[in-house]
Amino acid sequence: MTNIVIDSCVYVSHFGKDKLTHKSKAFFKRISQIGTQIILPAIVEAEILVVLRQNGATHLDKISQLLSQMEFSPLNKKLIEELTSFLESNQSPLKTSDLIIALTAKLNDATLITWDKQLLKNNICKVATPEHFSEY
Amino acid sequence: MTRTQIYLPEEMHERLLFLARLENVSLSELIRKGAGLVIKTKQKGLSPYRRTLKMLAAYPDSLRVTLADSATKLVRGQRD
Repeated sequence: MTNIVIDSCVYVSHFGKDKLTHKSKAFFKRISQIGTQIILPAIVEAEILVVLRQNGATHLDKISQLLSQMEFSPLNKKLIEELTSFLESNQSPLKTSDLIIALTAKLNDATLITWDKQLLKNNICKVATPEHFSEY
Repeated sequence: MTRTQIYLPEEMHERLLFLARLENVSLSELIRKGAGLVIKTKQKGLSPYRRTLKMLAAYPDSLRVTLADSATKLVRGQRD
């Protein structure tokens, strides 16, 4: 089964309405049809909830429930140890949250799915847009 | 509960009304029961994970909020 980490912007675009919503919807439809294991970093779930609430969403419990079956990746001491080890031998221009998300993908041998250009350029983990991933 | 409007063929409507009277329930309640059965049948055999993925993919438009900016910019704003 293919492991994927989905970035917050893809979820927010799916749960909200923006110019990429139709493509995000198509991506979630596609992954519901194929065998993929979704890994959900704690920071991603937190960002989804905060951004949606800031944009007026009132059904956060329903969204949390939909995310509850995914493999949750906590921000804990073990991850900080992995981060320390990574930083000791690598230089990365990524911001803390971006780095944690990319590192989570790398540690789980997962592809990071994002609309974000900064993360699409990262060289820590495999990366694809939802559109590109859906083609396979 | 969400209010929705549907069109039913006349014969089906009459039969449902008859069944509702027979079971002493409202037409809405009977239709809800039927919809529940359809969902149950469709989801039979799916793991909770796959079921959730199907539900995630079928997230209703009525619950989608209009975002103040693109999702990418909004999330980027949280990180920068």
